Amino acid sequence: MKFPNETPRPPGELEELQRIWKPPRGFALISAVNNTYVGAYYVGTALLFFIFAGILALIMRTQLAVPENDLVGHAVYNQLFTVHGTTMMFLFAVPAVEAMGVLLLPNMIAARDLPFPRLSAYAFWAYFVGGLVFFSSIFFGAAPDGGWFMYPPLTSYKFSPAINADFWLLGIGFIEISAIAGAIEIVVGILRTRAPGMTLGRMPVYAWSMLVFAAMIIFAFPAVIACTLLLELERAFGWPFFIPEQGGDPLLWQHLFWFFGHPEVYIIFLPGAGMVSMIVPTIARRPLVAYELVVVALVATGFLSFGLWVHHMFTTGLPAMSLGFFSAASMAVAIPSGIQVFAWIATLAAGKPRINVPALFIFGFFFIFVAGGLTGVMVAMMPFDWQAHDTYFIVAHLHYVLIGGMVFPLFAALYYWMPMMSVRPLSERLGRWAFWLMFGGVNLAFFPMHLTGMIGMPRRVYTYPAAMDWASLNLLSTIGAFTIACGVAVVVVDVFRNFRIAASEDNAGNVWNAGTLEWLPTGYFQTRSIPIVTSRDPLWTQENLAQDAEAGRYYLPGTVTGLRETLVTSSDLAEPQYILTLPGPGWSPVVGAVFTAAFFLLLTGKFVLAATACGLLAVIAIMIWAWGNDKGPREPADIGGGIKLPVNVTGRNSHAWLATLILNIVLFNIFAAVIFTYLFLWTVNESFLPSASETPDLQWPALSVAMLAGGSALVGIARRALGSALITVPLLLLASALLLAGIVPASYAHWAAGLRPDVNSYGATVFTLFGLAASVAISAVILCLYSIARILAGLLDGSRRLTFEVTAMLCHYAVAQAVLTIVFVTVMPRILGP
Amino acid sequence: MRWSGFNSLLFMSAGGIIWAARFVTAYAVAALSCAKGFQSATLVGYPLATALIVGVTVVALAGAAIVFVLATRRIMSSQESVFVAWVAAGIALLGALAMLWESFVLFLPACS
Repeated sequence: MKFPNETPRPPGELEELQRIWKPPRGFALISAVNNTYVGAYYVGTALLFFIFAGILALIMRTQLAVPENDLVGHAVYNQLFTVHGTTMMFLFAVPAVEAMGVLLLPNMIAARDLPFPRLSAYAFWAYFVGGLVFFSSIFFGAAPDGGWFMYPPLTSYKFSPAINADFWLLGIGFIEISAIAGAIEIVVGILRTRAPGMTLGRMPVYAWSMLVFAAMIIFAFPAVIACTLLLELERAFGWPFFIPEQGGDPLLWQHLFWFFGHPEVYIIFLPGAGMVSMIVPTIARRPLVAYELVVVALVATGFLSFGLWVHHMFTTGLPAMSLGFFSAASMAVAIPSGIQVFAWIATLAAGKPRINVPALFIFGFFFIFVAGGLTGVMVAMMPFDWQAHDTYFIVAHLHYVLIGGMVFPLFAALYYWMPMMSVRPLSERLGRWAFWLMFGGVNLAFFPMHLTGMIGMPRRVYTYPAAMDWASLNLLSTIGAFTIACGVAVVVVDVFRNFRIAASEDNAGNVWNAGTLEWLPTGYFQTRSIPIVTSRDPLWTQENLAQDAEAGRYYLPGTVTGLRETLVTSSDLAEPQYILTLPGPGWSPVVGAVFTAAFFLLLTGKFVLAATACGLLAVIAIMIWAWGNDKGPREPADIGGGIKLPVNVTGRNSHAWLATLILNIVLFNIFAAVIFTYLFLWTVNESFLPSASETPDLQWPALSVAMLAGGSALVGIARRALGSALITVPLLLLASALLLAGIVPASYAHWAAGLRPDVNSYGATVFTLFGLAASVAISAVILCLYSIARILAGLLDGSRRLTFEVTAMLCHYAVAQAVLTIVFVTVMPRILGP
Repeated sequence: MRWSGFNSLLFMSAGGIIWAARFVTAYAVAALSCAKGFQSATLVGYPLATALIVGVTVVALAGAAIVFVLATRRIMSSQESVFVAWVAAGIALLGALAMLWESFVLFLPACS
């Protein structure tokens, strides 16, 4: 085979690569941004929260071990189950699977790093700081206590006036931002930084699962952002979205929350399934059976999982036909899940499986997840659910699904991929102990709960009378919970004994003889040269690939710009398109993240001024980090094989364009959730809409639309005139003014017509829509001012224009959302009003 | 035929997008018919909501069938995009199955 680059490589090339990618030392390691370090921090922190939440579970199980126990009272117990559920879902499960993605994906697709390393670092540190502060609220009796799904009216101000609920609503704001930031990073990374030749059809199944995972976050998380925003507006300012006396409805919360909450289960499960699809072929020593069908199943699950949210609401009195759609969809989703399970079984049956620790955890996953799936089909049937709802049967079901679908694959992954990260693998002997303790413990803890539920024990009770005859089953569950803890403790001991982060090329290597690219020899810079991929399991089918890549025979064996860089390829066929320079270590993402977390947490305590200051500092830190990012195009560079590629591009082909597009989709989805709020409240409340005579005259909305359209047009003109600062700067200043002021006439006209947000749900919804539009416009204006600063500093011009491309996209989006808002609130009362 | 990345992803997801559009429409029609009290209205002799949902389902199934046919043609004619076509066909098929399965709901009472 003819390689793109000849060997031996020039002296000093490898040393230069090592120097550029060398991580900082000592305390400064905190400022590291490359995926190996951020990924390791991320996984470690997620596991820490798993242990913290597990300890809360042990306290609860101790409380329930015997009837009429007085170890903890009901108030503390309420906080325990709320923080346990919240931590497991928001601080462990989603971050853990995202963390594994950050850690594994660049290696798996042979990229040097993710495309936005500082964004990864920011997402991690916001999660780390905010998560620890949130969790510590339980030590001060300030933890949320309304259950992890926080239903109003229990969590409304009237029934929960203390800040406990605010801690949930604002305290996890950072995790929503962190998850979305991570999702954008993952989509762009997977679609644009794969090794040449790694077409969509050759992508590792794990990359497919993470692509679907990230897409689901982009569509599901905005709903929870919207509902937490609405409930916090109600609690803080009395805007009545959930108060029936003022036209609200508590069911609105359930719709929005579960539109996020049910896909959330698959957001957690699909990466687990992706990991299983990577590990099973290795332990079976053959390629995955029915790769195409597994990809079909992943994508189909992603879609169908959005049709299940109402199955959490079967007992709310919705009409039978409406419920029926969700019952049917809940059963239909079993088909793609089943396709994956059969593909794994077929792969094992067709291969020669090795029984090692990852294999044991995979077998445990099969058993536990399938059992949880079967009880899932049971509760998908409405008559059964009416009986089992809010009993321990549901607790058993959800733990079987989540532990089976995510925790066991995660532990399999921990044992499987540790040799890639560590100087030595984890212990086979300790791993077997851990597996059997965890597997036995899970079944001992949760199987009896099916029975406790069937004989009537409701969930979330802090104790029960001896006469109910639930004691022996509860004692078994408690023994099981402590057995799981022993298993987890063995893993912790194993990690402390054997995990030594591989500083450079000294990892344990491909001990399983796996076939995918993460097992290439790696340094700080991942693989020495970026290989050409010709199959799905390149290390099995491309002879000497590892040695050739390590010798530098493939693309980009050194650095062509003297900076960190990776190859950007086309999203379908993975053809090399340009070289992307990447930022190195920096403190600004850490500082920005700390202030972001502080912003949300201070708002919880109603420290508005301090929160505002922290918010501003976060924005400044983010701008400092962004300041050096847009390095502009450079001379095309040779990556080998006679291919000369541009360095850093702008326009639609750039990775930043794709990231901004996804951000706009996220913003639109938040907007759509509030539009849904409007329409939902209209359906349930006859007197929701005002009459046409009570709505503002048309001239004010028309003026708003004209001003906003003018702002958008000026940004478009400025884009064409980027070469001239004298033209561009005034145009951008004028556009900013129009963007900021554009929303005022329409919103003020509503105010002048007598509409108030704290009087009824209609006013609250309309002013929330205006507020959202204003927030996006303010963000766009901040970016305009940032672009002006870069123009004045000589860092933005006709050729170095990526910052402006991003700014312009956000400005146009802001105008579009504001115009849609104005048209919607103006037209709807006239069409549907009394 | 050369595929752009966006087109590939859109084509692969088409069956799922059609399923989602039909699902949201059917649920919205069913919910609105009860909430706004037009459950007794009829269209060509059938309850209005049921007739509308059947109509939407037929259109959606036709859409899924078109995606399936386009995908199978590509499978037979093209090497470059064969994987994309396989996935598009698979998702269209699963989406159609889900729509048919969910249509049994129409036998339930609309607003009880």
